[in-house]
Amino acid sequence: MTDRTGSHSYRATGTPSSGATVTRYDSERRGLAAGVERGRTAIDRGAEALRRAWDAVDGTVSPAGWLLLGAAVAGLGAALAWHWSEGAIVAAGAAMLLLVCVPFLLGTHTYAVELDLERDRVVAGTDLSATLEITNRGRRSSLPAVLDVPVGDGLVETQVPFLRPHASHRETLTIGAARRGIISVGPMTIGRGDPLGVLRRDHTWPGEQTIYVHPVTTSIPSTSAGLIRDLEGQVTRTIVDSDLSFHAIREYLPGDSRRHVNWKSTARTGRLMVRQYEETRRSRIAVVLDLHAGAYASDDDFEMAVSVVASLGSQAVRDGREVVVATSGEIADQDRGRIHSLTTLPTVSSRALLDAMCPLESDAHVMPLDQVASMTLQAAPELSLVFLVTGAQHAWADLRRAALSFPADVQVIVARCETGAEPSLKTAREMRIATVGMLPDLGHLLLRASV
Amino acid sequence: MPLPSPRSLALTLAAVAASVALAVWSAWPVYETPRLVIVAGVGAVIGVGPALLTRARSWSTWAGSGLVVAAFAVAVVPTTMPGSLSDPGGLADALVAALASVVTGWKHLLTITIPVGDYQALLVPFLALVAACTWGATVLATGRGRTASLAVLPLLAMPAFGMAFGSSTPEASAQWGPFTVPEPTRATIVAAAVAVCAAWLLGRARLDRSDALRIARSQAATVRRRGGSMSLAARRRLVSTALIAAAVYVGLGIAPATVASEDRTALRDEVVPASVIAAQPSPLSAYRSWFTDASYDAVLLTVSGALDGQRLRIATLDSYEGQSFTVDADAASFARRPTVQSADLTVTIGPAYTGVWVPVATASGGAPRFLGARASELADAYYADEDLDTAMLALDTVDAGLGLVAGDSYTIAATEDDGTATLATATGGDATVSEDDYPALAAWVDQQSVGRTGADLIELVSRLRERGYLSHAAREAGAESWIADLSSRGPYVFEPVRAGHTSAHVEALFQSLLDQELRAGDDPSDELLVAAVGDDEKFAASAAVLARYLGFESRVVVGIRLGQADASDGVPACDGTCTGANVTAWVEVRADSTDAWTVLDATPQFESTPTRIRQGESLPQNATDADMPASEVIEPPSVQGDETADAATDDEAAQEDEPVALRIALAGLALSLTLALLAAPLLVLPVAKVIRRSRRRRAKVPEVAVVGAWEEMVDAYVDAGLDVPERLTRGELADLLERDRALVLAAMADRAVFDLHAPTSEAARESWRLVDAERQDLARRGSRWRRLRATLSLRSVLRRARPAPQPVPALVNTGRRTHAQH
Repeated sequence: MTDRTGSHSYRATGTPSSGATVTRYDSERRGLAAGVERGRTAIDRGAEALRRAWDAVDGTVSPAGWLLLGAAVAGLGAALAWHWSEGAIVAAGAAMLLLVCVPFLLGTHTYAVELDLERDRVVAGTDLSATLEITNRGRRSSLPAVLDVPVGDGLVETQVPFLRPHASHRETLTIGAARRGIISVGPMTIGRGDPLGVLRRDHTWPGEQTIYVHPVTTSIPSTSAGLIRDLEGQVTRTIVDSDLSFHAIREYLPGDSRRHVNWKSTARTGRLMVRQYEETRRSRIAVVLDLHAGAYASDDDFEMAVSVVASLGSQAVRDGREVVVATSGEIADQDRGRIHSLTTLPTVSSRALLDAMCPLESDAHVMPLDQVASMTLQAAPELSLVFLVTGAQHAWADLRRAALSFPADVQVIVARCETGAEPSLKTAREMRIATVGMLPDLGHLLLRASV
Repeated sequence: MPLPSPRSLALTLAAVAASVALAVWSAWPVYETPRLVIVAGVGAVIGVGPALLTRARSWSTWAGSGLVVAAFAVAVVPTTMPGSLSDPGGLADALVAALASVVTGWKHLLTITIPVGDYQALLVPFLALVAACTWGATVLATGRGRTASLAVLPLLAMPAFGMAFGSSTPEASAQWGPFTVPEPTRATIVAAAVAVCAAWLLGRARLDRSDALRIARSQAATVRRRGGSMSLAARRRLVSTALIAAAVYVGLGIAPATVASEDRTALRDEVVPASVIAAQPSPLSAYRSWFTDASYDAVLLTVSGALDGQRLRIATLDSYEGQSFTVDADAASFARRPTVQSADLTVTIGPAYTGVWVPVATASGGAPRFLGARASELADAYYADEDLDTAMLALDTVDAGLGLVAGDSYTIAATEDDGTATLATATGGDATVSEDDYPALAAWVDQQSVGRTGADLIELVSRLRERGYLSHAAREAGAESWIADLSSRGPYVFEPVRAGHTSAHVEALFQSLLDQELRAGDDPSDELLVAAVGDDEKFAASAAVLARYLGFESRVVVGIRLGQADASDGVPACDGTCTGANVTAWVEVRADSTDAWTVLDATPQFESTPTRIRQGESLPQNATDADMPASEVIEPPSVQGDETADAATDDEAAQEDEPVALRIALAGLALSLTLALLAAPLLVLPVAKVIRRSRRRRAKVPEVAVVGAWEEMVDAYVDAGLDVPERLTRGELADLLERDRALVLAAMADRAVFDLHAPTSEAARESWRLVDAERQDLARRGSRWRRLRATLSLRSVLRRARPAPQPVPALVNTGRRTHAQH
């Protein structure tokens, strides 16, 4: 958008060429505004250059380097002002050390580095391997160097040997994925510097790759639990005699309702024909995970709870049911009581759900389970089956309150995760409590509950 | 925040412990008591313990610092003042003294001589420093991020305490292999402190890296072979050692050649002499006291050696603000002298000498060689200022005034007196005292009708001496000794004179000289001109001010002349045994172009007494008879009419009015000019706007004129305070503003730009008529204050000067979905 006070506009208009008026926009600043603009751009450029220079220096000089620099300056000042000869000694020594470390910074790298991960989604407790390929793209041979690959919190060092021009070196890394989580690999750096560590220059290949370590899941028998016949639901493959969605026509069998006789085809074939329909059913399952750290006796219990939720959720997604997986959002201490926050994980596909479950951590700053349950009900009003997954140390009264927040036609099953406990199933009036001792117990318990 | 890894924590604690050890080593010369080690240990525990607790339990920093303060308050008395523990009643006092010493102990440390031991509460500053620095270092070092590196600052501050508060005596050089190292202990301490901090920083980085490597290795199931890394590590260590060796070699080899440590200064060097001098009275003010009966004959000092022509300087005073001559403690730079003068004269102090000043012939060339039992003590406390050419002792400022006592002796070098030759040829510069402050002095100098060269100054000072009369007291009682002495050498009559050498006294002296000269008439004899009465104090001060008036630098020196006594000297020279009678004051003068000071004596003469000339009246020789005819009383004429009287008054009034009217007119002109100048900056803006408007109006191309008219109208709206949003088209803006003329002008401007045919100048005129009408409307609408604000408003200018805003993504509706389009 413009303010047109320049002469450009005149040339653009008023001269019809081929019957069309050509209008061009231009912006021109004159006088004070132009001067201000020029001044501002000049200052910005200067500031940008200074900032880049400072970043370069700051990245090269380590804190020890700054200390030596400061010691040199202070020693020189003391020697000149107060005639302290020890100041001169220290200044000379520090300056010499810095000077001698500078030649180690010189040189460039002509490598091309590629890191290929075998897969980027693994189940917790497995290892995955990655291939690192380093090629010397330059025209001269390159001296040995050390390549650093940050993997999660740790660091993997790779020795790159002497490489001729266009030669490459391949190495296999093993990355252990013992715990559920997200491991970010990269960016890879080669550092040049003196062996003391005073000055260091890093050559970085930007780019991070992420490895999702999924929780361990177990298979759950596919059941018909929670499937309620509802005309507003989704169409399934089951064929029934009366419903909305027309499927096919078959012969009349004794016992069929005469309402569903298709008279047209009866007339055509001469025999009685009845319509068949596909059943529409509704089922919406909610799986709620309790993130409160106080409810679990140990970290293993929490891991098992996450695995339970992952198994339930991914099985439901594979079965084609609608499932809502909800946890509490993060709430700061000062907002507790005022802010309610619910996080629903994506259930588009089982992989998306498992990806979203990787970074979950138990915390002390979360909403209690009953509030999460009531918020889940608000988010997904029509539920048929609810799983509340929590730990062994959750109080009974709170569990009952959570179960009572759902309406009567909703089945509530509470899964209490306690490693090493005896698996059991208890039925109460408003809920069923399944105690899970090991992950494979889940399937058996659900089968027993005929859920 | 959890604690860092155990290895990193161990490294941090090792660095802290090493720094505390270095602090004890460097502060040892200040204290020299084994209690220092205990104090350092307790301080380190007080500092490190709460810091670790705070980190481990995640307490807030305020809680941690409160714990440190509480621990300090509990531990300070038993640690630093163990003697006060035996007296339970005085514990509260001891605690108060200790807490006060946290603030004032630093200054006491500087002003007291070292080593201090555990005197009073002087260990408290060290304890406070160690506690605070170790706490700060531990808190910072166990933190995360870049601020952890700041922990080196407290770690370096601890050894720096000993360096700063120590003494400035240089150590003996040591021979380490092929190197000669000056100040070996201090160099070792400083280098070790820097090395400890650097090693801590580098070690931390190394530990972080190895921790990260270990984490990665523990996660992977397979263990990878580390072949070939042994040689790499060995090579790395070899190169590191070589680098450090190179740095040490350069440090030891090159540095000593560049710096001389003989004139080493420390903090206490600045403090001690200045505080001593600031407490001294001016010796010139006390000059009279030497001539009282009690001290006239008391032996001050005895000198032996070649005395002829020598002078002993007691004090040099160069600062005069009209009150008295003193030494300016801030401007003088008293420093120790590392070398020793040659031994030409030997001075032994007698019983009557007091004061911090050391009588020397010259202060340059080194310190005197002190003899006797107190030699080393005196040598340590000797300070001299070569520019002022004076020397003093700063033995103990706790009781200022202690200096040389009877029995001290020392040898000094003799000086050569160059005479007045250099001064005679020099010319003075601009006067440093103004004529308004000393009118009598200026009038007297004018009366002498000499020039302003050095020779003229010498002549003036000699005239001053000749026309003055020596007297040391205001009353005869108590002054018998010097009166008897002077009477024995010639006829002497006592004249009383007030004490003091303020500017009023100097003025009175010159006034008396001037009056006498004026009254004496033409070509008087020398005895007739003797008028001013005073002693060395007044005359030296007057001569110094006289020299400054002529443009020379001058200063007053209180001292003793050595050599054969002359009978005609008012104050005789000392021949071996110097008493109060020999103390004199002289002036030293220097021209700007020269370096050396010339000595001019200022003692007045005592042989011719001043004569008082009274100006009286005498009848003329040939008297004239005055006629005194009888006079009748003449009636005054009656007033004729009012006109004549008024005419007379009118004339007078008119004459008076003219200057008054002129003055009023001038004042009014000046006032209006000032107002115009003050208002000028404000006028810039309206003038700029007028220029902008006329430039737009007079654009040659009508289309540009029409668009300029629209811009002008928008600017007028902006200045008037209407809300004009940006980035709207003309039509939209006109619709928003809802003003008729704006709508018409917007349409005209759009047509002018986008139409097939260019607009005519008639259209341009029409558009500007609209603009003028609208501006008149706006002006009529608001109050005068509003109009003024609109004229002086910067908003329209700033609007144009703002940077071009970023394009805002427009929302485009396409069918059912809405998405943002950039």
